[in-house]
Amino acid sequence: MSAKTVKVTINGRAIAVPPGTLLTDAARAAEVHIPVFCSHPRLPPLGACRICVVEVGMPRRDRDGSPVLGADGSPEIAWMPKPQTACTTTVADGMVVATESPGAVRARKGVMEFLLVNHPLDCPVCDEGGECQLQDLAFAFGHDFSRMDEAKRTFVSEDLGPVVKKEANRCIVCMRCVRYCDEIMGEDALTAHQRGVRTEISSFDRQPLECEQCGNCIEVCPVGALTALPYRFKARPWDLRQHVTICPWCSNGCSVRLGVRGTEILRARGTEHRGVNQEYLCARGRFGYSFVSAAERLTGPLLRLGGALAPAGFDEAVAFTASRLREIAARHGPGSIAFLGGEKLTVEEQYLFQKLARTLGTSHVDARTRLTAPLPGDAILKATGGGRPALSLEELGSAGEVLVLGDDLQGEGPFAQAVLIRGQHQNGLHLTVAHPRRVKLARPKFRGEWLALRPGGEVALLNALARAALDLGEPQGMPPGVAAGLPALRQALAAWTPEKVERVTGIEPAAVAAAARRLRETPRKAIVFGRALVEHPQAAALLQAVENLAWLTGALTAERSFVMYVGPHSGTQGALDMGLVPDRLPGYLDPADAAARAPFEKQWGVALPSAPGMTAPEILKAAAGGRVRALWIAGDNWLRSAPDRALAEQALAGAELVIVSELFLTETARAAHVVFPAVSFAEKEGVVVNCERRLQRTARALSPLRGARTDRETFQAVARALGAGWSYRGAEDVYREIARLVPGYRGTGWGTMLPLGPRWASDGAAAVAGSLAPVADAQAGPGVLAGDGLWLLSGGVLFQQGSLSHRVELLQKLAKGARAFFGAGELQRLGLAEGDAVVLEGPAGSLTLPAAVDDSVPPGAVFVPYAYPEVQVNRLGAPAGAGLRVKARRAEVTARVGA
Amino acid sequence: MSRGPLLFKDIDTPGLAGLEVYRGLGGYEALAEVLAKKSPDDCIEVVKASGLRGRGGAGFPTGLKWSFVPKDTPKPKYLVCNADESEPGTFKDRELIEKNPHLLIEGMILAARAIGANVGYVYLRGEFAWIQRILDRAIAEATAAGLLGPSVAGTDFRLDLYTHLGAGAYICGEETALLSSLEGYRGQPRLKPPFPAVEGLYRCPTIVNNVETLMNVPGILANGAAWYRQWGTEKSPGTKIFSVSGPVKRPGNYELPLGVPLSTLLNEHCGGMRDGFRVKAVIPGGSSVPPLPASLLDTALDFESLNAAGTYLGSGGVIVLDDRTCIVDALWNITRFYRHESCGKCTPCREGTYWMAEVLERLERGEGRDSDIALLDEVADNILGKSFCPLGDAAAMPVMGAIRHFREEFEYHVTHRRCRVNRRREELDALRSAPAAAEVTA
Amino acid sequence: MIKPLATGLAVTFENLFKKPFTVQYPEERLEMFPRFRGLHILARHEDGLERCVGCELCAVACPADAIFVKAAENDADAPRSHGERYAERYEINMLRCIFCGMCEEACPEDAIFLEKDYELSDYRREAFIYTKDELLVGPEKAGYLPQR
Repeated sequence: MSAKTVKVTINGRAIAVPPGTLLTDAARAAEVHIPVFCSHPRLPPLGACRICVVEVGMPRRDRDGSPVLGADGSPEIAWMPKPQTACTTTVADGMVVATESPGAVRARKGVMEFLLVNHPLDCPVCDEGGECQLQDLAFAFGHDFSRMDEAKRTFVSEDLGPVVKKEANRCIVCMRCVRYCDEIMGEDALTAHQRGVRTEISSFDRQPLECEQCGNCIEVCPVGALTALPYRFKARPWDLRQHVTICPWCSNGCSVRLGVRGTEILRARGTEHRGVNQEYLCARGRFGYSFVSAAERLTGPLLRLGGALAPAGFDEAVAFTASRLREIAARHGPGSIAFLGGEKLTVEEQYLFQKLARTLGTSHVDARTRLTAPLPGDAILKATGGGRPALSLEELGSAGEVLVLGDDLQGEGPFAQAVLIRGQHQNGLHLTVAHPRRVKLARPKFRGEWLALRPGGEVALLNALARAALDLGEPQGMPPGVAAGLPALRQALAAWTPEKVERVTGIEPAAVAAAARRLRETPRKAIVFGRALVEHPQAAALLQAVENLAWLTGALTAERSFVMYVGPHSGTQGALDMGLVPDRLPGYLDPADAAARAPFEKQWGVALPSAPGMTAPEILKAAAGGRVRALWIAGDNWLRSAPDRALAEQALAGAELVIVSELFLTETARAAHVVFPAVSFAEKEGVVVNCERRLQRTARALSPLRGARTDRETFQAVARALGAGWSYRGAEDVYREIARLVPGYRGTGWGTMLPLGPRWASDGAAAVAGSLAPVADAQAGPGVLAGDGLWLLSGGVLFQQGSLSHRVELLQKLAKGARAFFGAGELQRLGLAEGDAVVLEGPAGSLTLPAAVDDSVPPGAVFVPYAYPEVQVNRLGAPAGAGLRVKARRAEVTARVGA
Repeated sequence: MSRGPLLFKDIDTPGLAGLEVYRGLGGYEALAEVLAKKSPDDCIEVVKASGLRGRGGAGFPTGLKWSFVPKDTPKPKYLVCNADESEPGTFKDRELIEKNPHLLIEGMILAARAIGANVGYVYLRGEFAWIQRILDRAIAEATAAGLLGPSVAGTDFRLDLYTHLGAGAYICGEETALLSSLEGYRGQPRLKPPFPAVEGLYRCPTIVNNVETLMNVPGILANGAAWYRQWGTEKSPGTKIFSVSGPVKRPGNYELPLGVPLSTLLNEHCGGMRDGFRVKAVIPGGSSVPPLPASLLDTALDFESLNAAGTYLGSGGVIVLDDRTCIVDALWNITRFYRHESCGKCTPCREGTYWMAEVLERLERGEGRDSDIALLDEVADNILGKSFCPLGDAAAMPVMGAIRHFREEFEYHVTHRRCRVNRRREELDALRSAPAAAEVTA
Repeated sequence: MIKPLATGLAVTFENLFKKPFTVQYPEERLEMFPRFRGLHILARHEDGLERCVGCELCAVACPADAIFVKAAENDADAPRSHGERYAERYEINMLRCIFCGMCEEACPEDAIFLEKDYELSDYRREAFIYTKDELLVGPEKAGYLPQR
């Protein structure tokens, strides 16, 4: 990396900046304010609004190249005849810039006056008033009167769907919204109609927007032309307390700025210059905050003493819980108690949750309630490089080739999707998407390659890619321990002939070979996977296959990891890190290793079990079979998240004690004996770890709802009632203990963690040794492929993420009710029309839903988003979501159901 | 009878649009020889030496422009002919293509060869549908005759030509807007640099030349730079086609060597003014340039002399304004054109043209104020040099020029609340029952 | 000695025939000066619609933080004010108000004025929070703007 800089003088202030810097950025470095409207840090320069005009000159030079000196001995400047736009001009060595010269001031005032020629100046009724860049700049640079007293041109205002309000009269045609929508969201939902002074931004057909409803167009609008309908006339910016915290809706860990008036969150916005996401937020992050103030929030513990759940005091509930736990542990042994959930908690709460479990003497603790098969606690870490410095979202966007495996990032990691789209648009990033459905990233617009994977062919595809990568030559950069597995792997991969792979996956061998070649030969590459692999019945094999592929293509090297796991929840990574898995202590330490156990035993004052406990699917079976008698479920609607609903219902009905910590009285909470009211992300402090393994602290924007307790307080109270001497005064106390005990977290502190905290990585050697190992496919074979019925594809969608989204009215409205999506041909084959009720029959149960057409769904499959309140996909039988076949038929009753 | 020394020499020959007649007059004769004997670089050198300057309005040296095309790029290169002739008062390209399409094709073959392009586009303005048909027919003829296609005139040089009809936007005459429009996007100018010669159509090196420019190329390459320099002046060699409109006896297209005085064009070639009309002002280069008052009629028609007189040669659309024409009215007309045609990308042009049109309308309606002339001048000055592309300058310069030369007419409008010379507007207004409905924002 | 006494009595005597300065409040009331600042009113347009659009500039201008405004969107069929926005809640805490008139100064719609009413007393603290109903002039005063 060259340290070359060029010298620029701005308003007499000399600074050195890298070549290629835009004048607006150089001016920021020189602490000179140059106003901008159309320029945006995430968009290429446009130069349209002209407000950034400055005067630019270069030193005049003689024929021999030496500078000409003026009468006073200073170099003479050859000024450009016209003022230049700073947002499009790049620096040159010796360049002199004046922003306050008479010419520059005159030009800027002229542009300012033009901007207001057709602006309605209706600030008193405009929602942008008080934070409007046009208002600020008019105040700073404009005149205090208007010479324009002709009639202004007018447009009719429009509601562009449920979130965007458009008032085109206020528009200054900076095109930020249109460009952001196209280049970063990849939606192309907005366009400019007409031309000249009649230019008007709208949707192409002037109908309500059918897009991701992210509202980023509102965010980037520098004036009040696009405003948020949910926030319409709710408050003025100066009414709001602004709290920067971390968005709870997925594992990307976006910073979000909550605007609070009184005790209510009125809006959420991006943070512009902080956080991984800058200004970006998705529809969930921007409009999904309203569950915090939902009326159905739990405001006190509930106890089932007789038949029904009844309100109880906190101390009473704690005492009851402790005595029942003690009783069950004494009677059936601590192994009859299991702790589930916790993927939505903060790191501190996750740490305490497993500490409570292990202090009680049980290792049956697992946050990964959606698993359909046992999975080692360090499997994901191993697949993502074993703790080597991980891929950041920023690096992801500047990669040359990215393989997205099985995940629809639109629902699972909207910001990661935006990063990839922006990378594709602006940095020439190439996408390869392996997914049964033609998900958004696989659309032709992004010019990537869609590997239309047949469900059940995941292992085959990964093996085929690995084989093709190996065919390109010896892999480089593997540590010796990993390379040792190469011969065995090479031999095993030989069985995966292109013909076999094509038969299983339905993907042409040439496409597989090309994808492997791109991944191997592109210098900057990345592999992204998510829950689709982790919740797969063959998860352990798939994660090993991902690791194989990563080593063979160089996405994993001895020093770095370019593999990213985009988990389902904000605390997914934290739960793994904090040992909310049955076979690993916090920091992925092996409980069988006495030396690893020792610091915890010393700190906690208990002897820890050395044997691994049961994983979530095992706990599910054991509880249904009566071997687990007490369950504590934290922040997880288990009846919906467990892979088999019938089993989960049986488990809850049979258990002697079910404790649920929740925000709402969910189905699972209804079946509990004790319900503890928890608090939402906006009401507590703590640390969350995002998919880049970045530690970020959340801030408390609101006082906790009266009667609700943080999970930290609940866990501590129960632990104390059980006799443990916990005395954490706050989350920071807990974190100090974590920072002392957990490798990777050592030396971190709360002070450094406001948005953009450090990313943890194991120092030196990997925390978990990598390996290359043959992966067999337990599923693929003629039997599986020839099965009848439709493949059930499930997955997350943007507007429905989990049970919290059920409490957000706007998201419910955007999600438009549950439907079963078929390809047009499939629907016809079934003799159904759009809107007809269709019955899906699985091995364990059935679902009735309206049918809908979605051309992203391949033939022979049905797509049912799992998170709709009225859809219980796990009723169809285990395993839900991955590798299940269902039968579809017309419902007996012909009446339309649902939407 | 020949109407000019070069492009107009045979323009009125019946059937010239057909390959037969064109060949009969020597067309495509030198093509094979030039392709065989001159390397692309030689061709660029000859064009450079000829001093040919772009005929579309800006007058950029053509050979120099061609030499900017990178030689060692893996990307394809494109040649685009700008036939989006939308400058008010200009109608030369229309006659040139309509009557002599093969000369354009020959010019494009040579230009494409010089820059290494294998695909050429002719971007025609949306109203030129019938010209597209003529040109398409000529391209088909040339292709059938082996002059276009995989093997141009028997060489291994390939060239395919396509015509494209615009959608009727003046801005698409600006080369980068033309390229955006050709790519299928909104016709709006792009940031320069990178210039099209480096990154143009589909982000590949692209040369955009005017019809008249390209038509000059065959003659220059066949006969050499010195031959071309026998016409015109030292710095503006060659001939130029002037499209004369207004109350002259014989309006129309005239091909004259550059450097001929404006008065010669009007008096000798156009036969002087029609009876009863006197020249008040002449707009020498299409509506985008400032007018010349009658006192400056002796200015020579070449790039340098007109610049010295405070105006531009532009596209050669000579608009003659007579003494019965109200300057304010004419200016209002021109400004409304720019208000309508501003693409809306940049603020000064989008809002400024609207504002100027509003103020001019007020003056024209006899409701002008004392401050209006200064306001108009200042608004125009605020557009000038601050807009994204030259359209803003084109809208501002006529206003500033008119105020400079004809300030007393504006003042008369303000003080007398009517026009001194032209009552037409008042009469029209009187016919209209109500004034235009004013829209007022809430 | 008699001279000072006479001087003093002269003052007394003089004032005996002057009009008394004291006003017999509440029977008698002073007329306030034109720029006196008393209790606020919220004015109406000639057509009876509220002038206030709920922009909150008064609230932000208020140095005593005495004004609370919550805006809402007008029902297009039955608007309360011109434009899209109106004040759903408009409250002034008179215990905090310092009668500086900054709200009047800040108002872009000429909606709020400090009028002549100075009789502001009550037995309950809550009563000092003047709500929109109390501040808004009646429909009979539509179009009324105080002279300044």
